[in-house]
Amino acid sequence: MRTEKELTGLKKDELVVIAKEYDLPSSGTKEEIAKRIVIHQMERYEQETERLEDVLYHNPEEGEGLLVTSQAMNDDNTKPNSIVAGGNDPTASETNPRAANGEESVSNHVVFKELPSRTFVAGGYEFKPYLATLAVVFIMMFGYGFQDYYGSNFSYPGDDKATVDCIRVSYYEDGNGNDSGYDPTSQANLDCAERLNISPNWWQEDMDAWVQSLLNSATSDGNHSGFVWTQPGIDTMAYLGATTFNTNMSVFGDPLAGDEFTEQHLAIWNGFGATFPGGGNDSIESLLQGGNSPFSIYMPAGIVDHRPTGYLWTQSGIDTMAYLGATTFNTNMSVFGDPVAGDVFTEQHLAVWNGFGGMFPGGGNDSIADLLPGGASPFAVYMPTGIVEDAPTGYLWSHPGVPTMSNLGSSTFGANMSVYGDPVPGDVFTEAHLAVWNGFTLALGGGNDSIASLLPGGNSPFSIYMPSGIVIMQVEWDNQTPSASNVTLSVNNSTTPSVYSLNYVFYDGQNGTDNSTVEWFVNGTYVANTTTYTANLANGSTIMCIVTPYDDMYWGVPVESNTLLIAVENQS
Amino acid sequence: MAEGLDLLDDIGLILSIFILLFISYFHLRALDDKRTWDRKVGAALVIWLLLYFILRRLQELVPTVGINDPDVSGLIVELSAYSSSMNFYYIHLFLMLLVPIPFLRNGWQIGAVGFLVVLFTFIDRSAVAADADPFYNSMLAVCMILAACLVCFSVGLRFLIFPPSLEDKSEGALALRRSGYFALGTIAVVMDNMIFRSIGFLDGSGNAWWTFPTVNYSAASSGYNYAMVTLAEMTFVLGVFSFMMLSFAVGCIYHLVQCFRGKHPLSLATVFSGYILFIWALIIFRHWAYVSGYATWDMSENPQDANAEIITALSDGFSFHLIYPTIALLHAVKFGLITIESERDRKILRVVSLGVMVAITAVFTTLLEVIIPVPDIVLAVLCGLVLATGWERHLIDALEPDEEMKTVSWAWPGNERSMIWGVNLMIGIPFAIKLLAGVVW
Repeated sequence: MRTEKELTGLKKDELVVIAKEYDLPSSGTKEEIAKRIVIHQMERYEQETERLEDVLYHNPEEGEGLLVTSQAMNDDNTKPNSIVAGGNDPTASETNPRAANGEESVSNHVVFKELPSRTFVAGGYEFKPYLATLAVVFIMMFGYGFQDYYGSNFSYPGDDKATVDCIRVSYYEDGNGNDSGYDPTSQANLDCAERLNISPNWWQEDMDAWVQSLLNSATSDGNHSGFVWTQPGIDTMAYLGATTFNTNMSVFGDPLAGDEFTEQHLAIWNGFGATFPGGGNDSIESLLQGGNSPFSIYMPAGIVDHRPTGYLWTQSGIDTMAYLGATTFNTNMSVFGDPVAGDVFTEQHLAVWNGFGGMFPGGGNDSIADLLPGGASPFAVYMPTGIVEDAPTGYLWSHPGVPTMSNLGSSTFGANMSVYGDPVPGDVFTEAHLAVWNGFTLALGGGNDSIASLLPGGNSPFSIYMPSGIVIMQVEWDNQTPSASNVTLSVNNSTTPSVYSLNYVFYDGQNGTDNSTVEWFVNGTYVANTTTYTANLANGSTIMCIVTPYDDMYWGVPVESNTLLIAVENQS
Repeated sequence: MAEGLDLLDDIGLILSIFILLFISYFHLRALDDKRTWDRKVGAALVIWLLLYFILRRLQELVPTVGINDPDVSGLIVELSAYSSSMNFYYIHLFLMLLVPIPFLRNGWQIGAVGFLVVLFTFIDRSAVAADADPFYNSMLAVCMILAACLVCFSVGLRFLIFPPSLEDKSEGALALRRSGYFALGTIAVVMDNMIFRSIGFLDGSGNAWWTFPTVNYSAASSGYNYAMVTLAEMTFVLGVFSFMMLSFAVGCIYHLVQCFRGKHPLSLATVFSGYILFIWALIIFRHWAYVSGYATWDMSENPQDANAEIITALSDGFSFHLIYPTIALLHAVKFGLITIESERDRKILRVVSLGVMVAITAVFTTLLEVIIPVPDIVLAVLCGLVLATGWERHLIDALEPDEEMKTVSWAWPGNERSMIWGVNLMIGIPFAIKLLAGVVW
């Protein structure tokens, strides 16, 4: 065995060779390699010494593991076939050919045959007190945790079990409107509600209060009431003032139709009303047409209307909302005031919708525009035709208007038509669209156009760039739009197969060409788009068609024909 | 900020794959070598564990890796779910109960554990099925794995507090040392992020008791009796985590004090002690953040604000992405599960060690950049200096197994070949089903 001094006296290359002989890493400085070799030699020396001590002095006790070499395993690795009693293998280096080459990491491998007991492995020599201590501490912690949670969540005066079970019935099952088994009048719910000292109808009461809070928060936003004077309202109020209250409209600031009906106006109204039996307690909603004011009989057209938002309920929207309410939100359309198509979709309605939507991930932040067909609401997939439509402004996007605006956007304003919601000809040109347009043109000296300024020949400072205008008046659009009438079917049975023909009257104010489309339906299924239809139809079949008038620019309203019922004897 | 933290996913995934390839190469290159059964099984279990981590990570990063076809049969979905559970539970149970000195000592005991996992998974899944009646939160399978953790924990704690003398070469001392070392390594590898609920268990905060899966909704859905079942199970689950972490904290402090006094040797137990105390610092910080409202998580532990994102990355993200795969490597090499013999083997180990160092640096710089906007170049210089001083050599030295770890074993009291094949098939078949279901559908 070389000493450290001897090794450090050698060259690095010589040390590398020695390190490789011992299968040691040969990287590092000269001193590091020398140190590694010295340590390795010392370890080998100690191992050999211990092995010899084991051979010479170690006497196994009863049950102690038996020492074998790993080389002494059977081929199938099942049982050692060379077990040396006494826990050692004095012939290891002789039976292992690799040992002769000095690879002691293999030759020194010992495998004890008998496993130590589990308790010994887990707890050591003193496993009884050790494991018992662990068990006691854990049981105490378990007991503490169980009792702590139980005390906070399941401990009630009286019978805990009965109370917890009643909480389940009243708050999560029969008494909960969100549960499929909702039945607030069930005996179980009534009994449990009594035990818990709550109303058996608590869910509905909470729901009503919540919806009301949504309505209140939307109505009283601190600045606006959400209602405006109507012309019939002004006339009615002027009449009542002159005939009953001995005042004139100056007390209301001589409002015009569309002016806001404020909380101050309501206070004045209630001040007048209080002098009469039952009066003095109206809300602004009471003054809507059909409202519950005690004086409603004197104002059949109401006094106020919802402040326009630029959006109206559509029939499909009402149907969709009613469906969602019944299937998802557990409510009906009364929370929206039972609207009909064409009613203003108000900020209050939006607040209620967002209140419902907020119960679902991503919901609760819709704007009214998000509820248009194809809008950005996260629930758009459930309402493909939207809930609202743009309120009419009297102006629509025209056929030349859409490409003109698109061209101006890309060439001048650096914007595409998405800023207008990607309109198509015939869509309402809204106040919001006008605001976008004026926003773009403001920096170019414009910014003050009205919608009428955007008509062909309008007074927009940019009219030179849009000779055909951007918008078209609703009446002009209606005039331009062709129509079809007297749509009837006839059949020629003299041929086989039979030939079905369509007759209709096409009208276009500009004498445009009739390029209407025709769609044939047999038993309700689309079959062809030809002007005539030839087929042998089975007895009992029905056939009809739909004509959509078109003059190469404007599409009219589709018109359905009569439906023919096919009888075989008629064909024969 | 989220983009930076998202990088942790990629780093962790790459690191896991890197280590998986390394261990797999050394394990598979000579399956019929002379390694004893415990080394072969240990290496296989570490490989399965890494595969589990990688597949789980892939399914999170690339959802298409999992079942993505809405028209797939419910039977396939169920089969895949059961396979996933079996894969997870078998790996962890066998790591804790089978090597190096088995607590399961017969084929039938392994089979019984396998059956219990399937049975408990069935009960747990049936309790929360859409049409379940009663519908309640069952955690039997989790309880089972934590019962196994208690066994592994008692071995590890015993080793921290009562390590046998290094001079003692008796069979008993060898058994206590080998099982103790291995238990500490295993505990570190399989540690779950629920350790961060250790304090919450004691102070009754929502950090433990109102965070999934330990949420007791059974009272609302099925009444008092089932609420008690859930409460007992969740108390056991949370209690075991809290009990183990508190006991380890005490044991680690005791061990470090004894090391300082020269009565305990510096060893892997010392490294483990440092790691546990570091984890405890994170536990305390995360718990404080939760109860003080400094950071907010939802009931599924998803971060709800920027502070929570950083703390999540520092705590369970850091553990999952960096610590677990690194310790898996340490586990495999340190205990001689794979054999590093020749100079060429050591060169490969050096490359892997450098890879781990790079990953460690990448994770730290990623986290640091989120907390302190340090320019990349400063971090690069610092990392370069650290690497240039040869720190990777310390890691390689730390990975070198002790002679005793390489040369001592206990024979399996039965047919080794059958046991090795049986364990691998029990884990491999569910893994293959889960993987194939994700690929096909």
